[in-house]
Amino acid sequence: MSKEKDQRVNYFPIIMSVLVVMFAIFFIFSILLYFSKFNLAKVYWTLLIGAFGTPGAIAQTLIRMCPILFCSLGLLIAFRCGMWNIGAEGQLYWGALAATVVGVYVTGLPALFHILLAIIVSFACGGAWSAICGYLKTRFNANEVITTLLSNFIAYWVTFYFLKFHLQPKTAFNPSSLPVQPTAVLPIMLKGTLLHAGIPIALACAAIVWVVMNKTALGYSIDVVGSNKSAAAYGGIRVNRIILISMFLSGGFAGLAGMGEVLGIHRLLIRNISPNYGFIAIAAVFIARLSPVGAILVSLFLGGIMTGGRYLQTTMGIPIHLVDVLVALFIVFMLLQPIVEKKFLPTPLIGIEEKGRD
Amino acid sequence: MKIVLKAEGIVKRFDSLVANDHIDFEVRAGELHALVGENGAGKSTLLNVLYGVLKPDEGNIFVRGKRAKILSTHDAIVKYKIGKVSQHSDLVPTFTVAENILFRDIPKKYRWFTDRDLMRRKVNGLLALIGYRLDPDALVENLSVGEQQNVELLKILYQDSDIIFLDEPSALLAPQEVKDLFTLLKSLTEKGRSIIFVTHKLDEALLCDRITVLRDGKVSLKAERSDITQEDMLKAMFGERIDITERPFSSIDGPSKPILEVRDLCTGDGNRLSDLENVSFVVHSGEILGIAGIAGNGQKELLDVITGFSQPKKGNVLLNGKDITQHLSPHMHRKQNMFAYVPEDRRGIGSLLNMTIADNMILGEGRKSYFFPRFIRKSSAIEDFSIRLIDEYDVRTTGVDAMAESLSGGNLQKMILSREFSIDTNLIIVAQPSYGLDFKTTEFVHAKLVEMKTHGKGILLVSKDLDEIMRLSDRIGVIFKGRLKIIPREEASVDRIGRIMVGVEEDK
Repeated sequence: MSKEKDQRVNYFPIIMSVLVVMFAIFFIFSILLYFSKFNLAKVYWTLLIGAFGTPGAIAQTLIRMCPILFCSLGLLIAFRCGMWNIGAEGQLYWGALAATVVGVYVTGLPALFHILLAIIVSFACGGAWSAICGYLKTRFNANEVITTLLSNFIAYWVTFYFLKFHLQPKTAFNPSSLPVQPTAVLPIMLKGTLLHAGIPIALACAAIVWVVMNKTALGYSIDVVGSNKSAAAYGGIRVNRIILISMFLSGGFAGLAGMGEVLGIHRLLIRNISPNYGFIAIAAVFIARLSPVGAILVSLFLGGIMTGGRYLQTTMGIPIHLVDVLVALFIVFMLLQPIVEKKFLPTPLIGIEEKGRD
Repeated sequence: MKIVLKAEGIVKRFDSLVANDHIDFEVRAGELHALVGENGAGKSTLLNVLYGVLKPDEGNIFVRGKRAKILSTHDAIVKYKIGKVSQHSDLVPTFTVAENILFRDIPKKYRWFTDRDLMRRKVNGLLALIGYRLDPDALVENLSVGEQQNVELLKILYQDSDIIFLDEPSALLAPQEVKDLFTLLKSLTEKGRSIIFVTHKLDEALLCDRITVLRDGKVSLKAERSDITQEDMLKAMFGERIDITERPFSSIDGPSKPILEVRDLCTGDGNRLSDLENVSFVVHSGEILGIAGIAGNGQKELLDVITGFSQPKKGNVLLNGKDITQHLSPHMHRKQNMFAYVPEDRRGIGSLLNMTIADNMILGEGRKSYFFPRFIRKSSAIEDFSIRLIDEYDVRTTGVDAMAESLSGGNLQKMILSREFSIDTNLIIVAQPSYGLDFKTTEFVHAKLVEMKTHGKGILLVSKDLDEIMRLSDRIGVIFKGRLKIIPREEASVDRIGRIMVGVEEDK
């Protein structure tokens, strides 16, 4: 669990372990680059420039960060409740579908209300989709890993069905919907880029999630249920209700990721709206250790690598797959970071168990 | 008669606790030998030493006259032909009977393929040997507990073990199944096998040929069945304990009123040992009602009904004169602070191990409105409250932000006690409050219970520990096979409670 509230957190082990892990990642990647006959220094420099070098690059990084952050926020709520929601991708698609319907077919609203309506509806749709899996868990004890994982496929193909047979204009050749109303488009924050208002919304959501999880009764109950269901029931917490609420919130935030992609970037619905943001976010929240602040940092970093990688491909001709390797290395090694961190921790003084006779 | 298994001066320590204290134990060829003792007397430890699970600190083991070094269960099974049927099934539930029995060498044909026919024939041969009928192709998960136990026994027979341990085999069996089991065991001993039957039930021990009784890690009785009486056994099991007479009786101001009333409670369909049968009792303010009994005789079912985790089949639960049977739910109970409850399972139910001590201290819906006014966490109040409790109960920790899992068993229990006893309620339910705790912590827990009593609270104490029951209770109930018998304090003695606990004095 996150320990923001604890003033006496010892940051030394965290910083040291992250440094060690980063070194390991770049060491392995450097070997790959060396054998691929690329200039190491130039590659890393280009990667950095491509991700953060120019205002345009930063904007692109933030744009990629946005859906990962939304999904991460959703997932961390479910994970802290002990619900292994693997369905953020599908929940994202429902959010995208809902945002498209509201964006295209609702007319005559002022921009602010139109966007607000789209946000609410896509949150509700993503949340409801996720809550179904939560209900199956509470009612039939269906394993949520299986139900959420499979619900991804349903969500994807249902979205495609609506896109193909209802949203796509007769004249269009490729499956894509009509463009959303101008009032529904998320405003651009920086001229000449696609830096849309979804990013500040995502950051605001991160703040909201932080407050809910650390400062409210609901957040406490979610943590208790995630920690020990039997103890939660013993303490009088209505476990099933908390599971449903957390799953609803979880899917809701993932739905907002879809909303951001539709109203902020494409401004219409296309078939493959998400390059697996919902799955990348699973790794991201674990690296972030289920903390909203960590989720911001990790999704920013992942957005940076992805953007810089595209830049590497165009400027240096480095295959994009090599960049995917870098992302994968980052995910794998960062998941090992807690183990490395333990090496830097002082040894605990208490914790000796008493043994029973039988 | 030949002695097949002999243990000399076995000592096994766990830190400061001596679980086996110079135990001498011997088993003859072809006998049914009962190893008897209360919970915690050291039976399981001795068994594990002889079966190669634990290494003894001192002492020698002789198998069939030769000095034996049993270093692992594999040694025990293969080298020394010792088999064990454990308390909880070791079978693979999704495998068939035959697959489970022939686990160690599945017969093959054409080198790669399983020979199903041969498997079936082998198992049928074994079944014929003990005169038992069972389908070799039945899945183990579809068998009854008794049948599963017989499969385990067959597995051991197939391993050719002639020294067989049965660890509390009757704990989960219906009475008829127990009878069948004994018939089977007798037929095995007649064929020359030696069986060690571990139990805490007197009537079953008395069906065996010879008896060894353990108490507090020592052998307290070793005799032929024909030489001893029930009385001797009881004395050996429970000892001649001195009843503590100077009990801290409280002088309650005003008349004591009933707080918890349970009437004619029944659960389940009455087939299991632990199903309650017409349990009735009252807990008054300012008294401790102790419920003694061997684990699994309905204590869990009783507590589950009172605390709202399960619905009774029949009967009523009254709290402060109000019938709450219909709206029993942990949420309602906790929200209205109807009782404080210290559960038996401290780690699994009573605490949140990977959360902070402060977060543990505020568990309970009844406190929500205080610590989360308008749903927002009041961190300062939570911290003050937690610090006050860990000071008052002397919970040894680095601070309220430490994780609960860093606490030792005794400190964890103190944390749970402090949380529950600070609830503003007049009923306290405690289950095994001092189990596994050291002497000093136990004293502390007992003192706290008495303190709560003098504050006029009604306390329901469920414990396996007879000393604890005798020491604290104002009235004593003994639960056996789901039936509760209440004895006034004056008439209670360790001897008498012990009798009822093991079913000797069932209806008198």
